[in-house]
Amino acid sequence: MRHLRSRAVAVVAPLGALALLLAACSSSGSPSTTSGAAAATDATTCSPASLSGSAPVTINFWESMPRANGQTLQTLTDAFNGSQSKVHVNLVVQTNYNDTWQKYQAGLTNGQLPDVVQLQDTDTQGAIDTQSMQPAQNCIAGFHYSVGDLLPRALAYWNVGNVQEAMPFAVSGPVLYYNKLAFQKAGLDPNTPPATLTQLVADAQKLKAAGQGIMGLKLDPWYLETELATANELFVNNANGRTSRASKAVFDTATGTQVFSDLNQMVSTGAAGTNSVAGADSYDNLLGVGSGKYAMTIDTSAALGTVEQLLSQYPNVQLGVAPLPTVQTTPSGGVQPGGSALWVVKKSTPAKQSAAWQYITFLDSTSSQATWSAGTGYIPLRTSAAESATIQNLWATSPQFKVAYTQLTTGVETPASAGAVLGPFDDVRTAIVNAENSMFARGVAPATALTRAQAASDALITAYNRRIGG
Amino acid sequence: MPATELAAPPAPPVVAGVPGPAAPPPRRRHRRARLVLRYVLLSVGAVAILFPLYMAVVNSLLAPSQIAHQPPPFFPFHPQWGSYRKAWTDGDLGIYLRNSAIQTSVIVAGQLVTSILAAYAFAFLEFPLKRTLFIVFLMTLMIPFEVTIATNLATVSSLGWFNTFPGLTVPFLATGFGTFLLRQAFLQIPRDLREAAQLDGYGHLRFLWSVAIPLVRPALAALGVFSFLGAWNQYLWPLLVTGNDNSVRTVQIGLKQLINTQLDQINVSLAGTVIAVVPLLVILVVFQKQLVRSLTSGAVK
Repeated sequence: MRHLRSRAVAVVAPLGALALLLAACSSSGSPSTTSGAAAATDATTCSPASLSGSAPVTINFWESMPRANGQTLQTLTDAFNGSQSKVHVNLVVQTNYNDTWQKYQAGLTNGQLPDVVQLQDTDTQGAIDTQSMQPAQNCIAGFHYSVGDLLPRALAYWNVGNVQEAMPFAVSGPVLYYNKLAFQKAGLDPNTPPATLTQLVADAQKLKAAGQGIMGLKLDPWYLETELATANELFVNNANGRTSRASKAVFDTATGTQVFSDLNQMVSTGAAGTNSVAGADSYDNLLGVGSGKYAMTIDTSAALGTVEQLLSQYPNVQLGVAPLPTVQTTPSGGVQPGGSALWVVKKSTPAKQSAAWQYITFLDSTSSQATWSAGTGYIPLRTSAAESATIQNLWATSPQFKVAYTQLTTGVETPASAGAVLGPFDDVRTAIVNAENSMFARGVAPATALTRAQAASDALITAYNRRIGG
Repeated sequence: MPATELAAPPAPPVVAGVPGPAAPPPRRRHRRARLVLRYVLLSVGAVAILFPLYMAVVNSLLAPSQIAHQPPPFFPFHPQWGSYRKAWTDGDLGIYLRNSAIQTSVIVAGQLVTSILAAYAFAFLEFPLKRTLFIVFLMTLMIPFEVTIATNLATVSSLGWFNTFPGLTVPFLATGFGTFLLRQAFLQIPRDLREAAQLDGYGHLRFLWSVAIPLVRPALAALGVFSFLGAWNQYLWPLLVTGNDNSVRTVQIGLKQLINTQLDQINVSLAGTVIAVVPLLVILVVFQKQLVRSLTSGAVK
């Protein structure tokens, strides 16, 4: 549920900086261990052998799911706890991704850490930089686990420097939600939603002219990132931070400018209204579809279940779900994944780490992923889960649930479509939102706004890298 | 002059049944007009302030399908009380409210006791480095809590207080602000009073209890309400210092969990918010008089 992300950065920043500093200090004594080099020893830490003792192990799992999804997670966890007596998982509900991350960073200073933690996509580099995580790669090796069936792009997002750092779990993608009835009344074909940004702009203007509502635009940096991925272009250098740590932003390209111009054109002509991406306002774009204010909006597929449930109660809405409109007519890249992954915490005992891994593989198993996806709207992360009867039945009756899966499994697998990893991701996203705001509110030219956002991002990345490297 | 001017214009046609001479004299009419104006302004202010709260209550009682309705419903004609039950049970608000009540009352009591004692010392006693110490107390006001949070967390954890009520409350038992506020209040007490009490054989504690405290009651109430609000609304510290169960988590964390909900449960999160704000409103209403008196005491003098 990445749309629930709020910006508590001001408070988090000093704490995070301190935590990272402490992490850096505490490791400075030991020889610098890259994850790859440590694999040989850590593979034995996270292995069935570590768990072969007789005593049962209890592990704490910090999860960040909203309530309805949390209930599905609880059901799965109960099933896991009931299926064997060796490992007991204690599900600890945190309030949201930001608080979990903040609490985790605070835990680095006082040792109050979980054994498994669910962190959102943007915290990936930050989590690696705490040097407190056991790379999933080591557990994969220790348990001889096969990842062949898991969706490549979902794995790729959490694969940094050829090391699988964490296991994808709650993964979603941006999709276009639109009101078929509004399309009809505006003389548009309700079964041909816009496939490109250019068409999106044109349709939004037609809808506005027909008085059928406009495009509900979130002030979301995600558009730029994802559109670049669909065009197979990088967001930051060093292969999106995957071959080595990103040192520069590279999104100021013709494609980036095109995305900004299209968004700006919709807003400046009144064909799109803007909504905050944080807090309670972040629902306004979806609620606006119900009230008739908006005819289209782009939001995460993770909300699909509840969006449908809510909007089906409005007689003026017939909900359509379509893939994200892309900047190119034939996308040369692919939509990057969004969402969260499960991390094994290295500070725990080998037995707990191994127990954590058993639990994670249970959650990523075929049947769990089928239950999870059907219960929440997240993308089933296994081909076998997608082929299961549960999911096939769901897709047969509600094809809109398949949109995000199809989107994530089409296109090319490159560092561009895998998405970017960088330390100050939240701050960089804020810089992009600021640039969007400067276009929409103050009339700054799209090209200028984008150039400024890139300069600001470069400064943020440089500052972060200096802090980590020092 | 204004009075005659007001009286001068020809009297408006007298409405039948209302005798002319019974109209209020100009002075009183003037005063009444000002009173009306004042109440109009106050009403506008009250509506502006209460409207969001009212809408929270309204929306908490709406079915999810009505929330996005245009125009928005201003009255819940079919109140769905189920959202309150759901917030209470699903949100575990009972235990969260209990925890908040304990945490808040300990902090308020602690701050009142420590501030009274410290302020008394600064106001009535002579001891070396008094000024310097007082400045040190004041300096603590300049340090935002966020700066000390990491070290406080380490301290509390090493004391074994992680996920306990002491961990939740002890860092807040003393306050530089409270000490400052009460010292200023104590300084208003005439020195003669202290000397007279001494002649009567009052010790420090007796003087404090029977003379000084009753005299500064408005300031105490203000401090009490102030620390109540601060403690009740704490978020970051309770989030960081509470652990893997609900045993000491406070209501603000419970609310955040409830708010981090999904689109079809906005009424439930609003119901939870309304429940959590009730204790605050009760405190404000009960202590309103003292609060206003202490806020205006300086201005009136």
